[in-house]
Amino acid sequence: MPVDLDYLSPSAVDDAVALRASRPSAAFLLGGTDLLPQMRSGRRSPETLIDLKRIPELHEIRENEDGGLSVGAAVPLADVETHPVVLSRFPLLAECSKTVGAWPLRQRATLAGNVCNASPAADTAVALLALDAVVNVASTTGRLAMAISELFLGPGQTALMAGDLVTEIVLPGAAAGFRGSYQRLSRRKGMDLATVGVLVGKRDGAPASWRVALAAVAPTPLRVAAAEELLAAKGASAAREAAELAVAACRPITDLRGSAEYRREMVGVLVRRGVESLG
Amino acid sequence: MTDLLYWLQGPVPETEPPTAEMPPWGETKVVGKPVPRVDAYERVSGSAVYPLDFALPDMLHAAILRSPHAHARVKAIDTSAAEKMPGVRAILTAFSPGADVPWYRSRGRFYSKLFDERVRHEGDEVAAVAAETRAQAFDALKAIRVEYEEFAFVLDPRESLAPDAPLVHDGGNRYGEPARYERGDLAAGFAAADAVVEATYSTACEIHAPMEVHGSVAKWDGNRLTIWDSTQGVFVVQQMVAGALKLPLANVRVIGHYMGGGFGSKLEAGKYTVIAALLAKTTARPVKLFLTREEVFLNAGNRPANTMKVKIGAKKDGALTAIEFSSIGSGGAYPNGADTSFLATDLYTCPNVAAVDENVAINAGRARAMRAPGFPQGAWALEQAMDELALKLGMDPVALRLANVPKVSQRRGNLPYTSTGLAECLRDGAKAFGWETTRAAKKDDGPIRKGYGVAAGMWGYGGGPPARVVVKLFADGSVNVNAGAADIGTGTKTVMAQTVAEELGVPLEKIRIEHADTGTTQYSGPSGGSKTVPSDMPAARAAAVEVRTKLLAGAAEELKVPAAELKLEGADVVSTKDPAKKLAVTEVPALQRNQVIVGVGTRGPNVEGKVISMFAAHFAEVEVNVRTGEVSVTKLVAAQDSARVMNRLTFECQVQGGLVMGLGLGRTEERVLDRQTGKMVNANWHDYKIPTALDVPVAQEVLSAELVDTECNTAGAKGVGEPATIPTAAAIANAVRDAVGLRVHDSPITPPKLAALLAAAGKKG
Repeated sequence: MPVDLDYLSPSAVDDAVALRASRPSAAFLLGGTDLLPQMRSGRRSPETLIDLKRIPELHEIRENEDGGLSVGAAVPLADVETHPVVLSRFPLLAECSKTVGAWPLRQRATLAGNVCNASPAADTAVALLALDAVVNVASTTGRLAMAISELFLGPGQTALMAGDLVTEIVLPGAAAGFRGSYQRLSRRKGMDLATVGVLVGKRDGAPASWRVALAAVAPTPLRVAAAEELLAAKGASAAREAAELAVAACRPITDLRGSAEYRREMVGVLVRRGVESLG
Repeated sequence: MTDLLYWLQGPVPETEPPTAEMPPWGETKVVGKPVPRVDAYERVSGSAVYPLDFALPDMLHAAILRSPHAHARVKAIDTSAAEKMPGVRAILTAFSPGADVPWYRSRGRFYSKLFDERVRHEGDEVAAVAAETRAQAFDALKAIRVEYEEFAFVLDPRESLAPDAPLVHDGGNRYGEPARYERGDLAAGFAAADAVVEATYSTACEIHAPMEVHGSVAKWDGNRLTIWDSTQGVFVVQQMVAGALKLPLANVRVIGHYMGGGFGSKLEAGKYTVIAALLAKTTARPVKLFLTREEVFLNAGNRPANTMKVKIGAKKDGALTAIEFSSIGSGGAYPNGADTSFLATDLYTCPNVAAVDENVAINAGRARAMRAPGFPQGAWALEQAMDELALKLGMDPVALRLANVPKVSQRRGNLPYTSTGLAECLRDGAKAFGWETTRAAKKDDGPIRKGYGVAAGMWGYGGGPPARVVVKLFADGSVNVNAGAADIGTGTKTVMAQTVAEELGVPLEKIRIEHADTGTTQYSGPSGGSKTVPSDMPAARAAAVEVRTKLLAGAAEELKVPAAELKLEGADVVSTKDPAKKLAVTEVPALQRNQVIVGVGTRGPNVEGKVISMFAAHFAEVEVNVRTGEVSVTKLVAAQDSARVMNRLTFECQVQGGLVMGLGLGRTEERVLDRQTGKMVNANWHDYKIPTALDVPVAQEVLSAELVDTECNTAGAKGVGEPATIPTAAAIANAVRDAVGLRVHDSPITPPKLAALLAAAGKKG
């Protein structure tokens, strides 16, 4: 049965967390680009929406002393992908962000929302995984930090507890300097989810560090540590073996966007291509 | 009821003689020029009021409850909880008084009712609610309890005639007997061939997906009904609503004005129109009922999926000897056209032809005419087969087509065309595309393979009567044009203003168009079938010429010279013999006396003994990545024969729109039905893939053969909407074949599909 929907817009994180705790059927609202379609289709039916966009703290993008960046939960993707620090130190995040929807949509959609929605195809999650991002969370029991690698559990499922509020996403300075590509196959070139997404990044050094992360080919966004280690040891000449490791690591399904077989094969093609282009 | 199979030329209605003598236009001043839309400002500024924007004081909002099942019987409906919901003012079901309205008529019988107790596809109407707000109406739908008895269903037309297939309709799953066409001796034709190709092709079901969803606003004043409708034809809606509600035509006023696209899906009244009217009657309030986007996907028409078998034979020199074509498609759960054979029987010269079209019922949303119904599917099959034939003969695909250009319509009594530009389209298009040079210089770049393809097409309908236009010249020299045609986004109003301006010399900004209103404007058929320009512009021209004739006669009286020596020059009437003898239009006494000069123009009959058709040839360049199966369409050239181009800007826009639609058919668009549930799984913008700006090539060129056709009608223009989309998908498929050496027989050409074919053929890079 339809119910009346309450809309609340607190101005502090603690108020938001307290409100959420007092209302069993509530949802946090940021850009709404995932939540509102889900409500319309009946997949979610919260009785209260707690809009976080009036909380000043969540709108901040802050440069940290370690050379990293903290991105407030309410910062739209459009601001992330054009931020000078992102472009200079974390360009792979900008690459991934640019493939989400379209420019007008990215004025609404947020990094935190993209992460919390936990779609296996989330483009920005791939970059955050590759860049060892940390998710700062507020709850009634206090604040804590969670490695993004521990966050994703399955499609739409995260390690966050009901009522946890992601306040910001931190890109550690230690992960700065990776360059490379986010290659993405989709049914059409604009406004589509990835059928397969492959990030390959490299940071020069002795030895060079590598990053390989995958979207839409497993229940969660996936990082392929084995391929990264192999590339660190052998360099780009090991592109073929790295691709094989990525193929072995992925666990795709067949859906409207493509078959498991096609996806698995494309992981190989794209990882190899991505590595070779950085050789 | 109007025959909605409008692309088949029926008997021409009796028409009045043309109201004015109109020699063909020579050089034109306004017609043909790239004039921006007369309503451009309203459209882009948002001030244009579309039916979806329309609101009346005290208006209720309605919503429709639809079957979640592909095939079921409604055993019981309980509306008691919904009736008590806040804001609910009326609920309609099959049992409501007045709701027992037969619906979906074909071949003299009705196949269903407004609310049928047997629902035959997901989305079939079960009940409707009117409430104070739209949200309340949708909330109330959820409170209606329906008990269904589910039946087995059939989704694939190829399975519909199996002996154990579930029956969609009790009489069987065939919509009439298969339509057969034959000429010559097929066996002898194939025996005489030096090369024969044979293959099966299929196209996926496409959704029209216009920007504005379908819907109506209904308001009663006593026993008079006014409807604001998003429609391609106000008079068709008037006719269907009057029939359904047993009202005199005169009591039903349908107003169209702006509408946000239809592509053939708005050539009829919807159930939504009648439901809105019934709810408005019950509540004595105006009712607005517009479908949601999801409902449009399920229940507002589609281009049916077709499976087509083609066999073609030819001599060494390319002369076709035989064509055998068979097609099976489905009008859906209720009858609609699904035939595709026309092109195979008439596009090329061929003495021996046999074709059969089978149209069957399935448990999915009903088809509606979609931009050149049947033709893009037919081109997908025929034009790929022609390509295969060219390969087998070792001929250039353009040369093969040029070797078979017909001078007459073999399908239509071997009558000659008023003009035929197929050869020009092929030649001009090839030249603009650089067909020979680019093909010769083709190089592969790693896994990226380039390919070039061509396909041709025709559209066999050139408009006709009835159509009537009234032109009024007011005392200040401004002009009002009154016409019933809908402007479905193609620029009808603009082109009509140009037509009138051409004859009266009035600047476009002084011309106002009143249109698409059964209460105040003149009768015209629906805007569809590329027939609006060839049907309505001659009527507009005739009306303007009549006004000019009366004006010049009035001036002749005042200037005391014969009317024959007077002409219109800007705002003046001037003597051709003595330039000193002139009179401002606004000072013509006949105009001043009456305050208005009225001209009534009708569309005369089409020329006897000839056939009017439009032709096109499209050229595509693609890049295929053989490792991923990705296809980029990098260039499209469309060469069109529509005879006179009435407005270069609208013409190009319409052709570009046709190319994008063709790209959708060839590359991305596909209704996906779930075999387990019978439900459409991609009934939304996200999962149903219409090409975006990024998918459309920047390199697009639109050419016009610019033939002079003095016989097609008095505007000399044949129309362009449908032929602009007919060959595009086939040209892309042929380009893909050229790029990678294998053919995708089934649309759309998706990367996974192509990658699998490449892998099977050992052609992966």
